[in-house]
Amino acid sequence: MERKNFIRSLMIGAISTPVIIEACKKAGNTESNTTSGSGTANTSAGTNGTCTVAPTETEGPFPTKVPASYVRSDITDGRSGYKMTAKISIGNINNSCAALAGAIVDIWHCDAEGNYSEYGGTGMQSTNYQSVHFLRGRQTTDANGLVTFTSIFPGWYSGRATHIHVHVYSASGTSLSVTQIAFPEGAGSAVALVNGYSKGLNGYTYNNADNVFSDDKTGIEIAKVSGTLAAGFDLTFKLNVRA
Amino acid sequence: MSQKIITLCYRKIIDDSNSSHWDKFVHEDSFLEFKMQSQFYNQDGKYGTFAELLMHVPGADKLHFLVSAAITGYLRQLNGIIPDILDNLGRRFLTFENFKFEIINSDFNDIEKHKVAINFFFETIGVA
Repeated sequence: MERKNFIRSLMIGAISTPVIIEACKKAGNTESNTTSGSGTANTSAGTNGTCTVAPTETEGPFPTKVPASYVRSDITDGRSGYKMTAKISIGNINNSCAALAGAIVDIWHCDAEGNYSEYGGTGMQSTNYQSVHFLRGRQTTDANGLVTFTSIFPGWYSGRATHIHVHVYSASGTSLSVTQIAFPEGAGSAVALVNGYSKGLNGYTYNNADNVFSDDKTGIEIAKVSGTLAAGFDLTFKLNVRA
Repeated sequence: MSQKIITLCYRKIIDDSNSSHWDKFVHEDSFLEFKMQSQFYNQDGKYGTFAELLMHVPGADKLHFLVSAAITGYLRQLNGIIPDILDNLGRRFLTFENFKFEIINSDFNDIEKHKVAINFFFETIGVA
């Protein structure tokens, strides 16, 4: 079997290499806009019809470089919930908190039921590759230090107030900050309007009892959130990092 | 007569020695993603390898899942057909919908030590 595969790969290599070279030449000609032809006439006779198996495309389409599936603005991936647009701007503490362009911003949060996307269970349990990383996203800050994500308003789970995780990296991928965004509470707030989706707010942990946010006495970790159930919510947050 | 479903798994291991373009993209991109995401579990920079993180940091096993986002784009390029396994005519033929990506070994500073596995799952019907 090994030997067969090896021989087959040699055949594919021998046949596809001239094709690739030819393809490159054509592209070059188009760009330089020359009219002369390229290559020389192939004098070898065709062997089609002989009793051999024609090698087919074993690699599938030629692979191309693709970014991680996190790189997208809409991270909803079919999860249902009230629409939320999150605008997060990154500032540089080492530059008077001026906008930091080119920073990589990862966010992730739970769905309406309070579940994160992750591998279920243990061992060999498999996952469908089309939507496995729901409610996780990555964007690069623009000249204003801003990234925008479209998502759903997060649900909640036992022991934690509503929150969004944020991890900011430099353009080269070095970690600059790991933090969480808290939500305003009380009458008329988005947390009160959404009312914990189907769970309600019975047993909900508010910011002042949350083990992450309870030491934030001045509300520096609390985002500005506006909007309605019908129109969706807008969240804005400024995060300063040392870059 | 009732039929039973048998789930088969093909495990493809990719390390620095793999030479196809697809394998190399998976190797390089999963390494970069591992370097980024592992910093969440290594905020003091105390550890150097994936094995150390697994041993000392609770939750570091989520890196298998978190890093898999770097390679799902390449899974899409396969159009739901498992690589490497060919039928008698030399064509790829086994379809998959589900996968599991694993980091077998890695070192933040050495891509040559980075080794991953993709498990492709496909279902076939067996007779009871």
